[in-house]
Amino acid sequence: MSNLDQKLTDDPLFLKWIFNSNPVLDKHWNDYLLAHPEEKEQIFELREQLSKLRFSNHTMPISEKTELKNQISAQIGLRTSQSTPLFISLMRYAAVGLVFAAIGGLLVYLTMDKDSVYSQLATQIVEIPSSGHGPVLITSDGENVNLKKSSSSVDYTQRGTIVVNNDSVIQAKGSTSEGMNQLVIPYGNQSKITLADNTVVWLNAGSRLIYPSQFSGETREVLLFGEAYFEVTKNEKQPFVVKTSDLQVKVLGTKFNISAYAEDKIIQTVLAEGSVAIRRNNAGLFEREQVLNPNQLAAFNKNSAETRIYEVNAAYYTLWTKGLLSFDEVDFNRILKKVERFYNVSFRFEEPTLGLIRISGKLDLKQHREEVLEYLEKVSLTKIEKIDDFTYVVKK
Amino acid sequence: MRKGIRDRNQWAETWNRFRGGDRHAFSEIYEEFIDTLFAYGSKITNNRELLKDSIQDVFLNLYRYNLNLNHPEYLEFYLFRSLRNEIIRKVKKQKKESVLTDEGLFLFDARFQAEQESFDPETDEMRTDALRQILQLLDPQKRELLFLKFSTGLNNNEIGEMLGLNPETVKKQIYRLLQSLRSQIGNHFFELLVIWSRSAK
Repeated sequence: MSNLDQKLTDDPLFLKWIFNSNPVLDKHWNDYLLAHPEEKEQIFELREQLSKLRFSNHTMPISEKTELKNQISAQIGLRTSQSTPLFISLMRYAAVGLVFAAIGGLLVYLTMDKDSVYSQLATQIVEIPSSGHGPVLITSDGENVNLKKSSSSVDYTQRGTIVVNNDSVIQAKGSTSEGMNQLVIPYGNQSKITLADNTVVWLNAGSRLIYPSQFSGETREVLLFGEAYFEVTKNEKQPFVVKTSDLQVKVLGTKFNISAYAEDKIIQTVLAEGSVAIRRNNAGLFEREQVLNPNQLAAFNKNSAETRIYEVNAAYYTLWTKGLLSFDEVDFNRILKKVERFYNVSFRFEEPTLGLIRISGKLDLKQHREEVLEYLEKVSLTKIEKIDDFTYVVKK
Repeated sequence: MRKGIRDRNQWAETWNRFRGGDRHAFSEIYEEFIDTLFAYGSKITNNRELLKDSIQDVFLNLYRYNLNLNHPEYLEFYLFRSLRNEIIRKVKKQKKESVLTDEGLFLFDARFQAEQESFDPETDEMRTDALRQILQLLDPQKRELLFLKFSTGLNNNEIGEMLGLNPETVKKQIYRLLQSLRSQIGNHFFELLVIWSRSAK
């Protein structure tokens, strides 16, 4: 290893530039590169290689971070030079007609302006609650409704009321309000919701859906993080649009599945019936839409912004709505990833090559967890050992 | 002191203000380290509340018992080492059995971004597989070592202290990883080149 490589990998500023940069640091290294052009190639190469070693990190929502800071300050009894309140639990911004409150890391917005709500809700980092909590519905009135069952359903009626789990009824505020609602599904849960236009949406574990109580305007728009299967009511006059982090999918009346988890590199859209048109968010005027036919899959690569189309059996991709999983020669670790989300557990491999085994089979996730794992053991010829309620090790 | 380029020697002044009970100084220290402390702690425990309590206790103890830190340049080291110890202490208290593996190693659960690629049957796949194979071979201790090296400003001595390793060993591990990355991925490119050049004939 060259001297320069050694010097650089021991320099915390260099490492910080690769793993956790900021504008000042960028400028610092740009200046350095200008002053040492002969080192440029080596630096870029080293930077590229080290970048591959980025970790996947948990983060705290800003509200939680601030709350913790204030708690610590208060406990220590630190003074401030100005007279700012020591503990801030509610922040109010009145100026833009926008009111939001932080409740355990989940934020709720009430606003008249639909677009600003979307951009704000989209950029906000919401903590998906850990297992032990069921799905949570945050209504446009600011109410938090715990849906209790790990598999729940929410129905919006024409009269503007909300029926939860075929049981309790909540009054939605005003049938013409543009109030935004948010359904948050933690890992280990699933939920089904019927929107005001009778569109049915199945939401998979670790997902969020943001939608209005009533659809008004030229399109019916919802915002999705995670995975959902849609059966959209046909209405040519008011196309249904699903927005995700990078793409929007426009629909006339049809059945399709979208997988758009933040941590995945690929956004997958699978069409079962009907037709959809996919567009990148912020696409230019002349950028063509991607139209899908039934039994086609569009895989959008977030990094390269390329889309590829595959012919598939759409049924495979929508079985999760029935709690089923079907796979044919798929990497073992990909299957376990889905199982992880469904039960909110984690698997580690004793030997990394075990994860690369290809397996075929069918799972019924509604069965007891232990039965499912036994089946996986048989199919993969491995042993899956329990470490605690949330952790398993896969061994030979 | 240029913001964003603050290195360990520049904590002395902030540290003195913190000792004096200055809340803004505390805020500076907190904002600088909280993200990495949280990321680090999350790899030791899944229990978010326990982690937050531990972070709180680390700062409380820092203020209450360690104000005579003679060398403020060790501030970062103090924070990370205390956090690690605090979490382990709390977890042990909760569970009656030991949380250590047979080798006495605490399971550090760190995943690389590259390990979590979902299906991508592109030409990219070959490179990702090679990388993933190398990464999956890294045991928890190596991952902790790399995390501390890449995400904090801790030097080899300090990392060695935290993990019970020789600083020379810390240095070697990192270089070895880079070498294997280069040789593995380099080889694949070589193979590809051979295949392409053959098919071109």
